[in-house]
Amino acid sequence: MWFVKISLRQPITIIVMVVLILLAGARATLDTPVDMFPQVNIPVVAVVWTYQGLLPDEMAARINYFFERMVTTQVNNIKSIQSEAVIGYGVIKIFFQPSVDINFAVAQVTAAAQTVLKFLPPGTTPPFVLAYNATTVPVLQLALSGRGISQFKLFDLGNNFIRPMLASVPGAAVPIPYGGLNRRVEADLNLQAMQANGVSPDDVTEALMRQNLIIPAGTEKIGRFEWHVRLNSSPVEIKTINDMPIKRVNGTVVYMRDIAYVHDGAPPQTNMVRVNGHRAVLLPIFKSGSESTLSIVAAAKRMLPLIKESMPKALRIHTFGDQSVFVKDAVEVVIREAVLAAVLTGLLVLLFLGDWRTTLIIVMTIPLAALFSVVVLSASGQTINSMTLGGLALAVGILVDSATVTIENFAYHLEMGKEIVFAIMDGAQQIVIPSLVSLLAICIVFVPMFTLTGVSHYLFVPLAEAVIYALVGAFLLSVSFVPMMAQFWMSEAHHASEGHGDKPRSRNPLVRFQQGFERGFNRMRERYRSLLDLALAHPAPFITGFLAFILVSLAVLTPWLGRNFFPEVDGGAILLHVSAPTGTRIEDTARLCGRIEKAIRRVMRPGDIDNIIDNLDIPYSPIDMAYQNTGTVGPEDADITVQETPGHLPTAEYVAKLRRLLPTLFPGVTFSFLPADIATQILNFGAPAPVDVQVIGPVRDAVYAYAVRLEKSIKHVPGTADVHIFQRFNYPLLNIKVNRSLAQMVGLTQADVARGLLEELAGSFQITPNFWLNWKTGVSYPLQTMMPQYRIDTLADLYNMPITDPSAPGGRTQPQSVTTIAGGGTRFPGGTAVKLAPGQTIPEILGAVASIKPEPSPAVVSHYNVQPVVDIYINRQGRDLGAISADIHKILRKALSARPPGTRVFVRGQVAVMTTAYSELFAGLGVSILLVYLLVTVNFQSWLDPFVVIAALPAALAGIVWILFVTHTTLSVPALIGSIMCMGIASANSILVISFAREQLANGMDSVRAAVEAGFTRIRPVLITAGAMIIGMVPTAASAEQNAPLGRAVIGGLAFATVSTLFFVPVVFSLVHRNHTNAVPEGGETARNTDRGADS
Amino acid sequence: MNQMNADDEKKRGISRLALVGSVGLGLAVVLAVTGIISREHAAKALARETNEAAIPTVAVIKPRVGGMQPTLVLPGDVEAWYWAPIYGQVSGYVRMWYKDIGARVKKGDLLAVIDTPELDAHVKQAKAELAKARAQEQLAEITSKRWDALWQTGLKQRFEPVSRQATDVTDYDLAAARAATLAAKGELDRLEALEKFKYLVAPFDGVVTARRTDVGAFVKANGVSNQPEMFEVADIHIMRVYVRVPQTYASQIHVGMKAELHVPGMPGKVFPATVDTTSYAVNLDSRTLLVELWAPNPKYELYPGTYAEVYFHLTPRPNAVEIPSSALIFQDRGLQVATVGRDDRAQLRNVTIGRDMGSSVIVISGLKPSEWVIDSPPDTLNAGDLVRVVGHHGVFPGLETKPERISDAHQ
Repeated sequence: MWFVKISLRQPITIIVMVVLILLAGARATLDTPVDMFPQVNIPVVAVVWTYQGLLPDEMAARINYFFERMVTTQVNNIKSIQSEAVIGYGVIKIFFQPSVDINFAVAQVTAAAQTVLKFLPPGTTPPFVLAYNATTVPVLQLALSGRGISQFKLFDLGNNFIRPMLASVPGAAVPIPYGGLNRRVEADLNLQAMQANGVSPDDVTEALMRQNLIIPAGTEKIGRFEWHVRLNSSPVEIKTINDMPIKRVNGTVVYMRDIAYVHDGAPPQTNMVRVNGHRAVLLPIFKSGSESTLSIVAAAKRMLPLIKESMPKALRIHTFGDQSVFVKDAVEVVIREAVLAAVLTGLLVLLFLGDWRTTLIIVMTIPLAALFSVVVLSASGQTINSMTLGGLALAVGILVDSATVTIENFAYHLEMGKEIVFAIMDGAQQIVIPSLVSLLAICIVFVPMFTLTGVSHYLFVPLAEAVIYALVGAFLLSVSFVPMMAQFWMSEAHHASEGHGDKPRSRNPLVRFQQGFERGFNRMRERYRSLLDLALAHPAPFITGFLAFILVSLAVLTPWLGRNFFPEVDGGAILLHVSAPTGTRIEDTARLCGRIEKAIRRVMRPGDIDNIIDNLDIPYSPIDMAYQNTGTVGPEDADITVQETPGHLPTAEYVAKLRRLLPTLFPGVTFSFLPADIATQILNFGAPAPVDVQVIGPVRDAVYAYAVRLEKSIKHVPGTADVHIFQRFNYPLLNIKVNRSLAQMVGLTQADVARGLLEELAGSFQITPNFWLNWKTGVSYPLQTMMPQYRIDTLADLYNMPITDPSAPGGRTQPQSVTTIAGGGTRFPGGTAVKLAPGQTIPEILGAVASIKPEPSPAVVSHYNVQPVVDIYINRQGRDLGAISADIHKILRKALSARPPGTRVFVRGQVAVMTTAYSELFAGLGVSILLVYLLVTVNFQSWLDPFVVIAALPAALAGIVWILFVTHTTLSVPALIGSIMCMGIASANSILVISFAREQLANGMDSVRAAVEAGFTRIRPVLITAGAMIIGMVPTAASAEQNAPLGRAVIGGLAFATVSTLFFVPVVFSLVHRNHTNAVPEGGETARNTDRGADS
Repeated sequence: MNQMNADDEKKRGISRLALVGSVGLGLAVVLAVTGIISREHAAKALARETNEAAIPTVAVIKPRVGGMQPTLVLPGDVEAWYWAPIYGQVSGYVRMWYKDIGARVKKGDLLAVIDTPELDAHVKQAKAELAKARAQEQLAEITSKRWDALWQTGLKQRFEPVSRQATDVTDYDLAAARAATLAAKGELDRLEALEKFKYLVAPFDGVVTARRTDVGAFVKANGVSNQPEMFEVADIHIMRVYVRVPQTYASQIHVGMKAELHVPGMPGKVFPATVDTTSYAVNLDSRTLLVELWAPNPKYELYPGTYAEVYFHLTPRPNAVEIPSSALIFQDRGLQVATVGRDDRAQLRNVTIGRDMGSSVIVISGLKPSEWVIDSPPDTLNAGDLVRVVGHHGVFPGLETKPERISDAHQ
């Protein structure tokens, strides 16, 4: 025990060590990034293709499918590929194996995109490729609004001015804003004027291309200078574009202003954000890299006043969705729990020890061990987050254990009349191995958690690490710091108590209370002894009864517990996804949102609502497209986020109410409630619902019909909610069928029709991009010709759309300009034919050469691993995920026979992750027990006694089941982790009892007496350990946080396990050793404090 | 005694233990049972609620009988009732014009006067020629008379003072002189008629739509090809509107059909028009039928040459009903609508669309006006599915009252 010796001899070294821990701890606490969750490094690369106006099925077929196939051959280590095609966007998410180097993956994906580009429709631009992970969520959102500032101005300010300024905040990624209008220079075509002037949309685009050029003129050397030359190729003022000539018709020049109006404007709105009913622009700030959430938010907020200076006075920047608040709250809650746990534990220790000095020593180890853990965590690249802090809170209860046992043993040796130094040396000597064993036992049970996969791995490994580091720290302190402190403080205490002889009756009520407690404890211990005697006298009925109770409890109660992945947490927000009938225009969806908001405001207490934010339609930015996973595929979709104020009524109740009410108020509208808290968003990663039944098959219609059948059955599964099929195949489409022969007869080709439609309905930008540079701000804006949507708003308008052959010179001549009619005779009435110059064509209207038929079309086309899929999303309400999943599986099995050929059905989403995590954790639990068994085997050098230790564990399971049942807590990953933890502590306690009993046995006692003695002697440390742990877990268990089930499981499990350790284990021990013939066991024995009972 | 006490105590302990044990066990059983029962209850309630929620709620509407008149909109050219370009018939210089563009003129109103000095001289010359011819005629007459008298005298007195030949000569000289006078008169008349063309007048009641001449401008007779007309006069009390109707719609346009004109620049203003005639021939180049409409223009608001949008109101089908397009189910089975029967179950009807007007459609077969149609039916609605009717959407103008349940509505 050299370091105990060193600590006693060189107290200064130890003090320096403590100071170092404090310093390093302080540094680590300040420097380590503080986040909500640990980094979830599930590498994902998103590829977003954009092609304005390309329909979803074509997007899927012409772009996504090509690219996906290329990716499967060119990119390594792919786990799965998901893709979604909506109008104008193709989003492909490539999930990689966790081991992959993300930079290499991005490089490979980018290369694949370049390879495939040539095969894609002409005009396709290279895609956005971005890597992100599950924890990429907005940390702060800025809403821009302002009286008198137009929507496109807001967007412009957000996108071109505020965004670049925020980009300088380290670790902040700011994509293109949501909502507003994307500023563009628009040439609004006037169909009537164009028809009247005989100008086709093509002419306008062509003219713009010729008049607005970006061509450098070069330099010229004149005399001593080399002059730069600039041509007035691109207009400085937007107004001047209006004066550009388009074409000459019979000597008259038709100007832009005659047939169109060029102005600072925006294309039709395709993404709308409403903050409390007012249109706004939303600027989300994402966290990228390993920068701390807190520092990003703080830096962004510091930047705001500077930003405001350069903005128009009327602009209001409203911040919300500040994750740093949640992070701070979460961290504070956990810290509060930890401190409370420490205080409670300290009180408990004080109660048992009755000496404030020793208690102080023990309590001091708590922060030191915690700091030690933080230092190691920080050094190993972990962050401070709710998981690592939760681990620390969890550890507090056991942290004091090794110190307490050590101190108690010192006291015991002191009371034997030894000198302080020898007492400490002997005490430490005796206790260090059992301490180490129990430390190992607790650490070992956490080992299987490192084998978890997926999200649970990233969330719970840091927790386990925090616990293990803290325990190791506590153990190290118990052999260095604790003896050193004991050397100073215990000798005094001891001498002080020695001076007074036997304990006097103190006046201090607290002291008297403690003394009373001590007396009560001793009485209790006597009663325990007689009870144990009784049990040992009748081992068979006792064991049968005990086991029967445990088994019956497990058998009866376990089915009622239910299984969830994670406990539901009140996220302080409601996220409601609204789908109006497919194809509903954005303005109507906005109106619908307004009505829904009104309904929400009626249901919720006014004081509970902080903000209501609507986000309609597909975001402008491809990057947002990659991040968003709420299921928005078109203008009929809206996400309504209701942010609640602190102290609101439970969110789940509101959700349940709204679920009942909204469908009756808005028939035909689909509602689904998405997880609003980041935790669940991370767990659902990529899916808007916890259960995703995915139907994959070759024939889309058959697959869809089958999915509809499944959906209908699943809807009746109790506890399911918001069941809906994500893919909608009924987006209204006007199918224009050009009669090619007829068109050819009148001199038109399909291309003429296509170009005409493109320029009038989609805008010219995709095919012939053109830009206007604002010289004042240095920002380039797209310049495009388009028919204003309000000008084409009936089917007749479409039928009447002029189609011209751009290759023919000029369009139609206007009757007014015809002045010469040969012979001066009467004019042929309306005879256009005679008015045409040679080579001129008559503009056809679309209706003359084509028929238009409304048809259904897919609103979104999804692929999973390059195969088309239909997803049924299922939420849950009021029932556990496990039960729902079981029922769904039953339905799927039943429907298996009716499936179309080649169709497969998968259940994905949280439920799949849960199943994996559960099997892993159950396996982990088994492995933990096995490892503990092996550890004890090594320690006892016996195969049998470890069994006795393990015998305590079923009771712990029963305790866990009971407490979860009574508190209506479902099984969940935290509960399972609590259970694992419980196994560790329970076995550590049993080891304590059994090792003592073995010693007694070795000293010649018979097995029954040895068992009684062991129980009687060890009841105190066992109760201290279990009591400290239980009381330390109370704050966590009583909270409504993610880790509450963990605390509850520990409390219930330990309560039962302690009873088992004190009764069941000794009885089993006596039985196992009833034929014991006083053999001296070989070495490997641990504690030898043979008659510890004497101190009472 | 001690032993007895101890035994007693032990017994008491055991009985107390048994009591505590059984109470504890009882408590456990109670906890378990109540817990299970409450969960059972919750599960039942949840199952009920889920089943209820699984029934889709729908809004229903009644189709509108007859439906809105379908409209065809086509571009048209507005032209005048009569339109006359006016050219100069005489060469000369414009002395004065009297009507500028926009002037309303009556038939015969003077538009301009042309100075024609050459013509004037010609007239004078012709007059002189006439006078000369007349003088010669008179002389010839006198001469002829005299010779005739002499001839008569000679006949009586049976001698021949003059020869018959000479007398005949004078007689025919007179006839020639008379003809010459007539010729000169004719020439003068011609010139005088030409002289009248110095005065340009309106050919009919109308409006001057062009004036391409000015005082002093030279006008060459017989308006040659490179010279514009001097004036244009148009009669615009009724306008003729020419519309090229694509072949596909040609059969739906017939004479006497009413139409409306919408003119850019006059939003909200509607001019009635009637189809007067069609060309009864489809143009080979454009595959269009030329249709002429008459549009009365009493206030002269329509101008010739105007571009107009012509709204033809096509006759609706007799048994057609109109429903909002949101009621249509777009699926690959073809167009369907969902109706709700007495049993609150959905039925799917295949329908034929007569005309799609964007926000609503005309259903020409497959749907009866008395049926309740589901507006915005759920995507996954199948025939026979139970639905819950909760009200109406309020988007369709022809909305009927909402029944709480369809079965009520049928009673």
